[in-house]
Amino acid sequence: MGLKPIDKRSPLGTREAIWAAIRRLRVFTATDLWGETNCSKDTIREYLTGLRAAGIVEYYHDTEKGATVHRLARDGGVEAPRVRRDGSEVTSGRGRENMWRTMRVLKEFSARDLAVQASTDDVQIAELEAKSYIHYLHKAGYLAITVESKPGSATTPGRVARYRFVASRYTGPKPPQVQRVKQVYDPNQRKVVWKGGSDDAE
Amino acid sequence: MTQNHANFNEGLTIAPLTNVALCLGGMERALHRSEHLPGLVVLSGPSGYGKSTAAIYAANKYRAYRVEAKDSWNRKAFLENVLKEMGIPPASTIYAMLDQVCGQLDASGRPLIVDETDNIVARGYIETVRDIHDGCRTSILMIGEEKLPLKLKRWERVHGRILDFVLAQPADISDAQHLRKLYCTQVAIADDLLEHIQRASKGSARRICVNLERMQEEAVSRGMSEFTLPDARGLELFTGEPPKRRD
Repeated sequence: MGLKPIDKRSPLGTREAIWAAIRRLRVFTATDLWGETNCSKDTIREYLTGLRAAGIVEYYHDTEKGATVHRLARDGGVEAPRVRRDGSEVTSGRGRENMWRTMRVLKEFSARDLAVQASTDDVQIAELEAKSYIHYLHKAGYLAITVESKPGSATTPGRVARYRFVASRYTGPKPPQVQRVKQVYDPNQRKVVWKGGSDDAE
Repeated sequence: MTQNHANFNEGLTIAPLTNVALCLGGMERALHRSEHLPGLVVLSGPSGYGKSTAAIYAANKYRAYRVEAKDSWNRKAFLENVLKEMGIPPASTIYAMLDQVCGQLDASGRPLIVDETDNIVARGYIETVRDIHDGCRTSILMIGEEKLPLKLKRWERVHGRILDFVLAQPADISDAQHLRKLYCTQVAIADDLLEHIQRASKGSARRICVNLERMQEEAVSRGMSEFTLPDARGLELFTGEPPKRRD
């Protein structure tokens, strides 16, 4: 059951929409959520399974017709919990999130700076990962180059590229996503902010 | 000479750096405090000591909401920006926004980091930070200049809720050694050069990083695997602020 790429889904067709509905209703059935969002019943059921396994949502009672009524047991706030079917937390986006947070503090940085400063004991970021993310954020205009990289030669030293965060391009707390089709999607604005062209060397 | 040629990201982080550890310690004392204790923590020190950078680690580890108070902000602008950080559309009144902020901090259990707190004190709405603190069980880290603790004394109700004052320290030689491990994976930077870099960087960990990267680049382009103070003769070190530009 493949999900459409994020930019092809309507705002009401996401897990965020299901989570918002759960927080609004507090007590609900899967059908209620289906009515409140544009998500398929499969998508809703799958998310509910994960939320139940994580203890975020719990079984409340059955209706006379035999439908299961759930209730919100642990409200973690506006951010939709990222859970797998077994209830474990999805942490795959944490590196990007750390980098997005870190580059706004650093303001001016190299790829190594970003990798080093954004890594924690449980989220390790490799320099190549930072480099790739920087590459796309620069293409999409979130970053400006302050020092061009230069390969070294026998007579002149090389230089690593340095970047500056363009403060006016801060759109919100969610890190922009690099999609598989080589485009950058900004979840804060819910739009594609850069489409890969032939000039994309990577 | 100690040198780490392994891939830098094998469990190595900035956590052992003096200010990072101090800041993380303050944050954790606040997060794990017992019920009757207040949850405000102040991190202060002269500019250039890398207070904001030191707080990055704690911010990432605990997924803190972080705002940098601008000179022009008032109470409303401050709350709006905190809500923007949370991805919540702000309500129309101050008290409703305060509820939104407290609600989200309580539900998520994530801490709040307020940078450039001096701007908030100067504008006279520091009590709003206290309101947030009183409205939920969260921890709030306030970062500011050297005189921030002194300035806060005037606000008795804020001052009385401060659990911990953390004073930022200048980056010392052990910080420089740790940064060498993190940054210099291609070239062995000698101890004498490292000491020179540490002195020239005037207590700023960020400048040490920039200088280490420069030295490494230079050594790589000369095809050297080890770089010493005599090798670096004539090379300029970065001793000032990074170029500040406004967007």
